[in-house]
Amino acid sequence: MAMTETFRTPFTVKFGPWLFLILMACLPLVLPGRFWLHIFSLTMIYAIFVLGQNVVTGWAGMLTLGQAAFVGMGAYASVLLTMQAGLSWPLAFLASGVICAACGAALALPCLRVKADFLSLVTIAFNQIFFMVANNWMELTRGPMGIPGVPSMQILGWKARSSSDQFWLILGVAAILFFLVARLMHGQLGRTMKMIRDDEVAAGALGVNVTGYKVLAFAIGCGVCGLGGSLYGHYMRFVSPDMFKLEESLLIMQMAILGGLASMPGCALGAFLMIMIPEALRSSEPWLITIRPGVAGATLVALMIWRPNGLLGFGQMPRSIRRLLRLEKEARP
Amino acid sequence: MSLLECRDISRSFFGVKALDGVSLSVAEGETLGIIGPNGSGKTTLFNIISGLDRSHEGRVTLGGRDITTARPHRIVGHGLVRTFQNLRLFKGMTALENVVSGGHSRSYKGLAGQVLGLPAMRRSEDELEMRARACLAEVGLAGYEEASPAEMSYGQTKRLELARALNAEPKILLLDEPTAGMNDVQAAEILGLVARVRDRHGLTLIVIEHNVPVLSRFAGRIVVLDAGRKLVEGRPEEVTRDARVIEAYLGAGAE
Repeated sequence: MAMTETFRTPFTVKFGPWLFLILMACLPLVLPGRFWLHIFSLTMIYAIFVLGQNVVTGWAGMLTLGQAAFVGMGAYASVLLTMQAGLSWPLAFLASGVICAACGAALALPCLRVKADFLSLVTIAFNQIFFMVANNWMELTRGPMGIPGVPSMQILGWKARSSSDQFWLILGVAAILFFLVARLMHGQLGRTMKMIRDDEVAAGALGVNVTGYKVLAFAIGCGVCGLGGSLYGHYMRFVSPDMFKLEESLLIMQMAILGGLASMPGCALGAFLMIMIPEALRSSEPWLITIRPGVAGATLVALMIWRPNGLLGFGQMPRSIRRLLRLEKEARP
Repeated sequence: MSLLECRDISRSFFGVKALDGVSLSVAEGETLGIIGPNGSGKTTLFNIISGLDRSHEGRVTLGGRDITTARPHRIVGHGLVRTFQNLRLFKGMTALENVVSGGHSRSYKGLAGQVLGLPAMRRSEDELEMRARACLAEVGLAGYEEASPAEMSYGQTKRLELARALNAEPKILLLDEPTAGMNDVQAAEILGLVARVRDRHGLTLIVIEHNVPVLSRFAGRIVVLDAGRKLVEGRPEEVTRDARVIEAYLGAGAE
């Protein structure tokens, strides 16, 4: 009888992330020099930002263009809490997540009154407001001068001094965040968000509290960005308003779209490509350097034409390849 | 005893009365058909009952509970589920996920439980998936679990929407033109499926339908709406013979 039949998660889905994590953890042992380690650390931090963006945009279907404001808010909160209030980094890290989640939920309220493009405009405006405040509130943020001398991350007396220590710490935090968000997005919460994304009216008619889930999506997405922001500030050892401008939001959004909306590996892939492409072109060939700024843009244009759902987005992978990689659930005989 | 009761429902859009004092009641286990020309207020009535729209006057009660101003997701919780005339499937999900989504109201929703993978959450998700597969099989879509709605034929998407609604475990199901755009053979097939499903689950049905001959065979009672008012109500054979209905619905002199 069908009711006793169970379905197993394919092994690629089950063990793929662990294998990837192990390979990543080996990187500092094989990478030559600190520069590439830095690039990979940065990629992982951006992947966290993209994760936050993807919860709101990929799963819940709201195109926010202000995630950099939450990254900045998390970074400033964490930096000020450690430097001014004397909190330890892990506490400041968690606090910045909570603060950003609360602010995200608050921003969701005006966003709920508008749809689609206008929602993007509200979030752009929010990004500008954040920038203005950070730039002008001299007493708190030191304005455009920024805050230098930010202490490095440390946990219970262990301080991440070398770049490989920092790499491993960021990898650990990123892995935990990806794990937690994946649990939510691959279960009931992610499914409900996709219902809202695909058809709000039908979602409501099937019993979804649309307002509640939109606020929740903002809270989670912005909270994740805030946590990423805390890592960013303490990794760069410096924060200034310029780091969290609208351009940064656009970059995060581009990464999310490039990797594929509502795709967990897509977050990492998008961040990786958008950081790696410009770095790889930073070579000795003069013409490569000339075209460098245009490559990311051209990539996106090409993507919109041939892969409008992003590299790993829904329906982008042919069924045959999905079968080959065992990405679909199969009935247990 | 009536399960759903609408009393004096009125709704106007910019001065145009879409519904003007419509009352109807549906008994448990009954199948009520609603017919009427375009613009007679059929879908508006569904929208008001299911909470997507608000009536300006009148009351709606479901099982004795006033749901006039309740929000849609609350009404689903009370066992009333509807489908849509212009299919509203979730296009970014597979057929299976679409049907699983139908069971939203009874899914495990705790965030901590989902993060920790608690057994209660796993049981709930497994149950939803089993039920969804059973619903798909019930409407004849077994084997299409991983298909995207975009890959399915029109008739299949109609069945898919029915499966999704079934997984919401309704007591009363509102179907808005389940056979729109189909020929008589397909329409009879779909309504036959609906009738089988109704009998198996003991559903109460309200069906908006244009195909009167097909509807007459499976609805116990038919309400005819015209220009926002209830024109006639009665057994199918009475209604289809009524001179006023013939004039409003089929056009004067159609006999």
